[in-house]
Amino acid sequence: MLSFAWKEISRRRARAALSIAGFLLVALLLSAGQSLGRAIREATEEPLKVSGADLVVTRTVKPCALATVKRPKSLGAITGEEIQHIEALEGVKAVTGSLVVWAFHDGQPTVVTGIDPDKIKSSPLRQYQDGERCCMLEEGRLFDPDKNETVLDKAFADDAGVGVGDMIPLGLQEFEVVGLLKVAGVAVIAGGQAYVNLETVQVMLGEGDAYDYVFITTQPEADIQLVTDQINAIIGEGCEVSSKDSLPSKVSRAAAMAAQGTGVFVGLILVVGALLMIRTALSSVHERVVEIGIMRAVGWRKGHIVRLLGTEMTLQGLIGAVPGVILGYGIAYAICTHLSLSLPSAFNSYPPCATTEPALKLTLAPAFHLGGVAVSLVLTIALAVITGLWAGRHAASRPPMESLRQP
Amino acid sequence: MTTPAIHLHDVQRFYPRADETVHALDGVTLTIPTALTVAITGPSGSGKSTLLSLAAGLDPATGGRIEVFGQDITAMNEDQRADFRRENIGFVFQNYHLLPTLTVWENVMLPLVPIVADELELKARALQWVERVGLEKRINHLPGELSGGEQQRVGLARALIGEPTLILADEPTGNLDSGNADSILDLLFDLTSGGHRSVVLSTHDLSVADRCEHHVRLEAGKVVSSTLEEV
Repeated sequence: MLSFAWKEISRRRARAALSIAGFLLVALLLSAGQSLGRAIREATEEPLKVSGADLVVTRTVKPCALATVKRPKSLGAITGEEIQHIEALEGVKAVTGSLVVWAFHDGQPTVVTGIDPDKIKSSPLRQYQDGERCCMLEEGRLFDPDKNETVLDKAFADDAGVGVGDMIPLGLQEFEVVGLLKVAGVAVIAGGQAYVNLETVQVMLGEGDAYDYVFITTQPEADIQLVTDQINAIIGEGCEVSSKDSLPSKVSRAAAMAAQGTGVFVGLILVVGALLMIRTALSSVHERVVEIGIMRAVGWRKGHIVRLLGTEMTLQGLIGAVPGVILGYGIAYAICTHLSLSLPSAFNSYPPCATTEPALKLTLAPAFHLGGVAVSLVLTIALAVITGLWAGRHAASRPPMESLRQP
Repeated sequence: MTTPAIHLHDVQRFYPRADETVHALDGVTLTIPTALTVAITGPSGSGKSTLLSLAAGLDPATGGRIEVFGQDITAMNEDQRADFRRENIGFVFQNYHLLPTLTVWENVMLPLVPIVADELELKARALQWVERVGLEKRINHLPGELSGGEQQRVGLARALIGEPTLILADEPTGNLDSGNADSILDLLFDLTSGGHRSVVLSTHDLSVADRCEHHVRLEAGKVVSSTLEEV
């Protein structure tokens, strides 16, 4: 039956090509949609992964007055007491606070991020030791918390003309540069131009035990929404809690739709694809009504006709699905190459006059995902099988003589 | 008494049309014994083709009972009739009814494709019958590349590949010139002789009918005369 079905496809090339093109299109759209959706989801989740957190909490206030050392833009303070309350919540595994400030010198601000070196696993510099996906200490070492030492973003250091061993003014103090950090093209929440011990920055700011970014790691079974609601209640007015689910909508509406609407998109493609392919299959059946009548007349059962048409459509589906999936991935790759997504402004602590660019660009890379490929192939071929069986049943429903009498 | 090849009892076939009902067969009772050649004659529209298609189970009867080799085919569902047809009946069409995208040998093997899994065996049997109808040099040609006579030979080989015991031929020479018609009839009778096969053919051509052992004449859907009554 398989070789018989293949003969039909290979000898009715125009009709088969139309059907194959239809399945190719379905597979292409499924593959592209899934790849793009996954790429955007992964890109928007990356800043959280980079910092090792499941949630990031900030407080927005009206911008404060000018000062030599001040919190950036509209970032408000989150107190140590509030952090303790958050630590005590059920479902919260670990909490780390960071403090990002603008330290002015000669009228020029430097973005300084204060981090607790004992809690490096959940902070803007989480993976600096691993050297992958974020920040690699290209030269030197991490700062000593008991000294006025700093690790600089390498791009900033190059721009400022300083290196390891040089002194750099941050606000009213001088710090020795002990390390240079290379940020590996990822978006970093609370990233800065200079990284200093947290307590030192708190002293520079002069507001006591204050933070402006809180990174939270949750328990695996935690109810994220409940934890978020409880954090909102603790922080109060101006509280912003970001998670991997809420980040896409903060990046852009399109990103949110792509990240969260993949299921709807897939369903829509399948419905439209099914209607299109059934129409094509019925048209093919209509063209072949006499032939099907002949097969019935020489002794083919209804089930044989169904099997033949099902096999034909499955073969066409297979031939269309494989290149369709590959092309879909290629299209998703092309779109991602030209699409530019960045972390929302709430995470951008750099002033407009900053001498270097903040690490905000999200990495869009539709990685080859075996599960996604399998889903696209299986759905397309399933559509082909269902269409073929449906068309076969329709074709076999007429008595043979009625089919043979068709002009 | 041996089981007859075909037994029709008060068989009717009506076709509803817009303003009237067409009585293609109107109460036909007829018994055709085995191992005979029978010609169904009559003018155009007398019900000859309808009788053959009902006997083959290609068309459902509106009323009455049809038995083929003792099996009541009117009581069978479509799949059962298809199985019975494949195993017992070979049908030759006036218009040949070959599949245009299949070659000669592929058309010949068509009845056996769903039931014979071994493609080599299938091809061997098809080639055997292609040779018997004299088309071994045209084996890979498509129907569109054959003459009418050649196409009917393919139709004949296809009807016989399953080694049926009943051959029904609906105006097998209707679309052929006299030369081709004679050679087709020669082939038909030659291939079906000596095997207790029954051949029933419909024709409006008396010279074709004269080559059969018996005649049954239909007019307006009724049997008006039959030499079978003498059997």
